[in-house]
Amino acid sequence: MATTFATDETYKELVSEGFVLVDFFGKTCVPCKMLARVLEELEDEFPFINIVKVDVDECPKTAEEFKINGIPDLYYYKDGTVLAHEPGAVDGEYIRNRLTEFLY
Amino acid sequence: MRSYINTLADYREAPFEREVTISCPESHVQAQMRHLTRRFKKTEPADVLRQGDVVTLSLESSLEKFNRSGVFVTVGGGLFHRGLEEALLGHAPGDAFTAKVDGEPVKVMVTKAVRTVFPEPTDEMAAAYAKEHEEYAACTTVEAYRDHVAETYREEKKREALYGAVEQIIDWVLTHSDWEFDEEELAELTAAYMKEVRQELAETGKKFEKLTKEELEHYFEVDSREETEEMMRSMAERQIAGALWRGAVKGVELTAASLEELEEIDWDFLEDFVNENLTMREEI
Repeated sequence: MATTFATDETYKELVSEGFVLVDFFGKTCVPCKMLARVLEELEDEFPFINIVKVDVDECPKTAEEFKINGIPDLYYYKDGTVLAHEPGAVDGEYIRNRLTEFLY
Repeated sequence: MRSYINTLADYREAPFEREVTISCPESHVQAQMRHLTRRFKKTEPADVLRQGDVVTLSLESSLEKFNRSGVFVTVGGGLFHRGLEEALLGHAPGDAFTAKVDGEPVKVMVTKAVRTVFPEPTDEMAAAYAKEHEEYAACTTVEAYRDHVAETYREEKKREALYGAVEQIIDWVLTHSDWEFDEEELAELTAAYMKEVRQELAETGKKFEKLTKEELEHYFEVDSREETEEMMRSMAERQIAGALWRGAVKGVELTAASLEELEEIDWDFLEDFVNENLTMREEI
């Protein structure tokens, strides 16, 4: 599965199964663009990782439910349960370490 | 502020690395090139495994992590196990072999392997990317994109060198000065940090008081809750000391100022000092 863009309606279903990396982002936010590039690189290298992107302006209900006060904000899910969340534009190496921990 | 400075070390005497050479590795440029070509990437079955191939494995071992089937691994990706990933190189789908992991045998069966192939970047791809990405708008050729990537990398490394030096100096001044911390002030700030910790944990459904040793190690790199609180206290000391120091440099009457007011003073004097005394050589 590649990257999927969520809506308020599809969000819960998209994170309900397996390991999922969720990126809450905004179109005009510069750190979000930096994180987007990092996630693209991870997707290319590890295509078996599910990435769900949530545009906070397009998905206000989901953003409110998760109390997203700042973007980007990265959530790690396993079978619908939040394992961790990382506010801010974390770097690729950091995410890799988290993936090692959560994936296997 | 109720805390105060007994003696303040002179930051201009702090040792730090004054000469830095900066260059952008080709591997970074190549990795960034993929952003131009990724929408044209293709996946094909892989034969003899090489770096970057994605394999599906069946594993048998007495080690729990290595005793399962349907495991997705990117060869050389380093997420699963570096040693085992290296052992996969040169094998092919259908191969079965035994690898050693932590001294234990692991039976490995390669059930499937795919390879992602990226085309060579072209100026047309660069132009298309430039249209869609504001920050790359001027990079309408592969060469321009490549130059921009390398320049951005070098700028980032320059910033890292600058802030690394600033951090070194801050550490030196904080440890070479003598601070008198007001216990109440320190306790308030430590409590504020602990509150943040609890809130962060609550967002992932965890309670600080119920964290296991493993979780403490994971979140805070400490062995106990007491150590976490000590860490927060050290952070509070550092924050208060840093604020007092900045206030003192700027000539603020420290006893009349609040922590919030002092926190608004930035480190520009330190950045200016480092900028004046740090030589950065670019290797292109």
